[in-house]
Amino acid sequence: MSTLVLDREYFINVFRDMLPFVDKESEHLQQLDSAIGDGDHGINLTIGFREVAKQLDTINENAADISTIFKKVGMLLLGKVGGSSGPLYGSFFMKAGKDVTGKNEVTFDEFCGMLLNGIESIQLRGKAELGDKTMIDAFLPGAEVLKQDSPEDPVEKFTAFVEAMKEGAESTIPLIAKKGRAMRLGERAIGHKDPGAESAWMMMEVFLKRLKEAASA
Amino acid sequence: MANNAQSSVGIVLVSHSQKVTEGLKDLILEMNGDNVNVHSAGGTDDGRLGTSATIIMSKIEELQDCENILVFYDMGSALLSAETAIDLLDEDLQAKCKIVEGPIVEGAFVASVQSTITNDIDAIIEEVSKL
Repeated sequence: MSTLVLDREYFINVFRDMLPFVDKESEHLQQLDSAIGDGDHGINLTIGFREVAKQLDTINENAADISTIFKKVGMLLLGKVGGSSGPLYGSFFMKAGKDVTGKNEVTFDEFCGMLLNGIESIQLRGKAELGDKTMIDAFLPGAEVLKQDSPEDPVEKFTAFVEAMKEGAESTIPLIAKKGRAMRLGERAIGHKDPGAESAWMMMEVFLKRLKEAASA
Repeated sequence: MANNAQSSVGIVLVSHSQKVTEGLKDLILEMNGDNVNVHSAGGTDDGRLGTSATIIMSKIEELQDCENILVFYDMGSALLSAETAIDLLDEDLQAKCKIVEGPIVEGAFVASVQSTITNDIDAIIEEVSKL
């Protein structure tokens, strides 16, 4: 059991970091998506998190708890993102907030539980299995790390979580897609990394960066 | 309601393109007159290509007085957004909604015509499934 506690400022800071992050990675994600998707993954995420950035102060002022912050961010992504990643990431954040109603700080273990709830909602929504060449290929190996008792140190554990997701994203390269537009490409999808799996681990890395700060504070 | 033949069935059109759902709505109204309840929920809320669960949700809510609401979609993430939208609704309204499998243009057209002659929702969906 870790003693690290994350307050609402931690989460607000993470959501504030999302726009510069997606801005920076937009072209990279765009390139991956142009190879097998419709080429709009980067720009879709940028538009979604631009709206989040615009409304974040208002959300923070009015939200009663961390749960509400997550729900509001999720709702904005649902409305703005447009592609599959809208309902998927939107559901992810909304469901991640469901067990922390009334809380303005959460333990690291509770935070892991929030992410597991989010991952579960992506599975339910997208109905993708491991090996379908989707963001699930990154999230499921990550979820396995979150469920384990070790490592005990939060930063170590979260680093292992992000690493497992990153490896999961790499594992999509040789796969034939079973979901989305890439499914129609058959073997032509082989050799390309799934853009959703890539953005998934990268987004979790944004959480990791702030987690390192919180742990050393 | 103004017209006593007003259908109790609502139809929500979900496509990545607002032009598709607006055009389809025009077509359906042209063929049926005003006694069908059809809403366009295509595109994102800033008019780009894509779908938006929040738009779909609000269009369904506008049809809450209908006994049944049929949702037609074009492909892929339109289904994800439609399912997400329905999940966000109150349970009573959720129970009225059905996402219909079938081609969006022909399916919504057939359902709209059927909705002017019957309120039997299973019969309407059955007609669509024959396409």
